[in-house]
Amino acid sequence: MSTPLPDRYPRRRQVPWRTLDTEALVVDVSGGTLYPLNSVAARIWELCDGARSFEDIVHVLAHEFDAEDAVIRRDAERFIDELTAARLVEIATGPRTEGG
Amino acid sequence: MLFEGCAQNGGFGEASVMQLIAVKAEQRRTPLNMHLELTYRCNEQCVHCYCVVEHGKEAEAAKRELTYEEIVRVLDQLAELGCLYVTFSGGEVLVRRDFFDIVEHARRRGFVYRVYTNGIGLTEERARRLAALEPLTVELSIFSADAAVHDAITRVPGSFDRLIAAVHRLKSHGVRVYLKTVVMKPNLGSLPGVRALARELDVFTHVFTCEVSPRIDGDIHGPSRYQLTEDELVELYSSDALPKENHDVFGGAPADIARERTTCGPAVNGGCIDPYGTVFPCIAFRVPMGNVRERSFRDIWEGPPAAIRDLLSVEHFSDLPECSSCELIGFCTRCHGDNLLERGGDWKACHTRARTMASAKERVYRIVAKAEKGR
Repeated sequence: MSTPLPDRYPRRRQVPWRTLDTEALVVDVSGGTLYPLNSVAARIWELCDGARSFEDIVHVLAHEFDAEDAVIRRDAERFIDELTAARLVEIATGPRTEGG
Repeated sequence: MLFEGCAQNGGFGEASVMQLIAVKAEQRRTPLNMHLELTYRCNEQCVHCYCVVEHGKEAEAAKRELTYEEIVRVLDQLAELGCLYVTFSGGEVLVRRDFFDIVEHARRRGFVYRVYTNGIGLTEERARRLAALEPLTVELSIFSADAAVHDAITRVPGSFDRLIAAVHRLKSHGVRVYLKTVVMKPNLGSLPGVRALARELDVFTHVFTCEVSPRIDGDIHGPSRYQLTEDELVELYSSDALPKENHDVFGGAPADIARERTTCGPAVNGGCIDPYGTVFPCIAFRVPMGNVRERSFRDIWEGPPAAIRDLLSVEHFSDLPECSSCELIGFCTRCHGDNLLERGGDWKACHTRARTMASAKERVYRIVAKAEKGR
């Protein structure tokens, strides 16, 4: 990602999803696409709650997963890019509306 | 890479992750897919239907149905247990005045849902409203491209025209439409015409079955009189209108195939709730697990009665007494539920209807193999 990440990435409200153990299933109903997420991706998906910033998300991941900060940052950026491209999360730059 | 298998190159639908989730869902018996029969009342009277309410008894049936509040409670419980997919079926779902309220709640609770309907009550307003609630699919039954044949099966004059109008309405609102056909004696020759019509209508897909389920009230002879004979099944399976996958078979010795092949798995990662709140392992296997009016769905699901635990113990064909020595096992698609209804008891025994169908498939397989060898 060449530009700085915008502040927050709320999940689109109408996107159905469920967590199963540590993995998750996310469904793009309009496109008819099922996205199975592994445990790390599922955690990022959960953290895209509209309250946390990118830095907040990276901070949580760094505490929960055994990987170098640079790797976590790079991969989180890529995955959030993919989520936004798939229109599963939105990009929010205004003031926070939820706690966190 | 930290996220290997989840999000590379824009394709985070990795098969290995899906497989892991499927295995976990099965091991944990997460009810991922639930079938909710909202009513048995219907504005059609299809000759082969397994669950229709008799004319004149609709009001009585409606009083017994789960209320909106009860259904909402069940949906909330299902969501908490990890259920993602819900199918709303009937009867005819649109005869319930609160149908859209139920769907709205399902959407709020994050379900992906499918709707089975005959389409004849799907006005422009209802089609628009349904589209706004984003169903994954709306699935409609069509029995023939010939209106007279279709209407004779539904026993409602004009039902074909109303069905086609419903398809157009749904399509115009961008809804993903499936057409489905039960092939029986009255419409045996209809499949090519229906498939051509489906292409013309540009529906998402068309699927068919030739299994006519016995009525769940125990009347096994009513619908079964419309079932195709083995010779008729051979005629059907030989048709060019069928997709190739219908001829897939498992090869090898019967005992080996029986150990390898899994049976269907009712009550493993999904089940059925009837309009009156009774939970069943699937649509067909009508052994009650409990009733959501008396206990929470979680209690029912996690504490199944002995008969259901016995059902859950059957995972492979080799767990059944007759399958390991059956020469047709590679072609068999037995249904524990239909077998239970047909036999009225010993569902582990040979499912004779499935055997008839397997025998027809085996005959067609040999005909095709012989023809290919002769080329």
